[in-house]
Amino acid sequence: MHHLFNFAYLDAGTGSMVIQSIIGVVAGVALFGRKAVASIRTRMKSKHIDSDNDV
Amino acid sequence: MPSNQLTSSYRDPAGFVFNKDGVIYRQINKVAEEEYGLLKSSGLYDRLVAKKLLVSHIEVKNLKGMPVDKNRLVIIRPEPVPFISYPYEWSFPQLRDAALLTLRVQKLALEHGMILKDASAYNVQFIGKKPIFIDTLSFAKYEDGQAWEGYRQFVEYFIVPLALAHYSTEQALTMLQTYLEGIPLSLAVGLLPKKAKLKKGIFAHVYLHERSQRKHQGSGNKAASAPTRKVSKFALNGLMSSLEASVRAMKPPKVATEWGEYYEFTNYNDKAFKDKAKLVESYLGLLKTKPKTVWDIGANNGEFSEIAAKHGAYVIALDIDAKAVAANYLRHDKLDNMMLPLVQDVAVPSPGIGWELAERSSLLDRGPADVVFALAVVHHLAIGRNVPLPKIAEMMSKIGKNIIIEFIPKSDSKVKHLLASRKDIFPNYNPESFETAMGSYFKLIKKTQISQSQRWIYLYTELKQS
Repeated sequence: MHHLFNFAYLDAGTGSMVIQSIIGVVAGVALFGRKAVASIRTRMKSKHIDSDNDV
Repeated sequence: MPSNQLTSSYRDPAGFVFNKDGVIYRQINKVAEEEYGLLKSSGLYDRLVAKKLLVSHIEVKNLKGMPVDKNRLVIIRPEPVPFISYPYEWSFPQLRDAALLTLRVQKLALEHGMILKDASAYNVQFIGKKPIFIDTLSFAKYEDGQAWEGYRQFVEYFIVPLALAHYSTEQALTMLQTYLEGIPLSLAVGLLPKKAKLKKGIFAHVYLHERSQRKHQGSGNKAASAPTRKVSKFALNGLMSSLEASVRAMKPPKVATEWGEYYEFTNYNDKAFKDKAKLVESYLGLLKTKPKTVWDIGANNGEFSEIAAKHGAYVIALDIDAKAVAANYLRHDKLDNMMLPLVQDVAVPSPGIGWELAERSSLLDRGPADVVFALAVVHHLAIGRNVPLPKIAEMMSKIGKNIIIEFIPKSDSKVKHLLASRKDIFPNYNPESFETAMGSYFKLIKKTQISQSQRWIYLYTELKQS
């Protein structure tokens, strides 16, 4: 049995437990996507600066 | 359990807080041995304390006079919080900062293999203008796939009240006094305007959350087959990130309030204002003992509270106007840790509420202060709120040992303004009656007329100590 549940004094509610897994995955994917896009933009920017310097 | 266990500390089997000889201690019970050990050994405690996010503590061996308790693991003495305040006394940015602190603590906890057991707003206190986490027992071991039990509590304590205030006024935050365990999701969906659904954070954490709660309401009866969904760490981090974005997206309402810009429109010219400030400062110097605590009633944006803070006192800057309190809170200088702004209507002060009406202390029970400032307040109470002068004096005697108080006569334009739209039923509102009322509880040390005005500032000290 989960250790936390042995002494959990908070009634979290089943509905709460269910929805957070859905929201969490959607938010996690969105966050991952934003970070990936930001990373690509940064790399493209530095490539652009490097190619300008080569001129 | 000792008889001086705090009335607010009884729900968590992992331990409780008690007062011994005026010092606050926390007993940690043996059931929490693994969690407490992990908090220390994982490095989480050190990291949180170093970042000033969690109160530090020292372990106390052999505390004298403690009854034998076979459940006890250890007693700790946490860093003291100068003044206990409650979420329903906080302004919008204070509640928002308490929410962001909770999420930051949670994020760090997850990095160290731990998780917050709960997300009560009462886990946070303010030391001056800085929020700090106070519940050392809030941490449990994190296991892969574990959902966050504190999620609904976080939404009901933080997201819902902030959203309600965002779409109406800051006064919505006082609902936390009625809903001591957080504003229920079911109430939130009824009160929020339809356009709130357009904010994806509110839509997810409030509306979808409420729908899921409603749907699974009866599933506790089928305990053996109740859906228990695992939440991956990826999803948990996503959830935290989404909650943070939702909190940050909410801004206080732009509605102007009665006292929000008070100091721009007062009766004082610059010279009179400076003279008043000098007077207040000189009165502080006349006291026999340097005050450690000052309550500034009607503090507004904290102009006069600063004088007391510069004198070395810890100032509770109280005002009925949440916007003024927020302006004070958001103004930062080197006195930040000496001043705590709070929303408070001194005519209807915070009562003792919660379990046995003692779980959360009344304002009066958290005093008295060494000094109370009641500047430009008496006429509002006496005329605006119909409180007789003797009652005002009695109230002052319960909250302060020394009072610096301003009396504004009927000839002043501010009082004339109050009487403009009502019948003058205040024949006893005059300096003589005021002095008689105060004289029942206090000894007059000095009174001075403020230059270029008809107002007087008095310094009183309580009769029993004079």
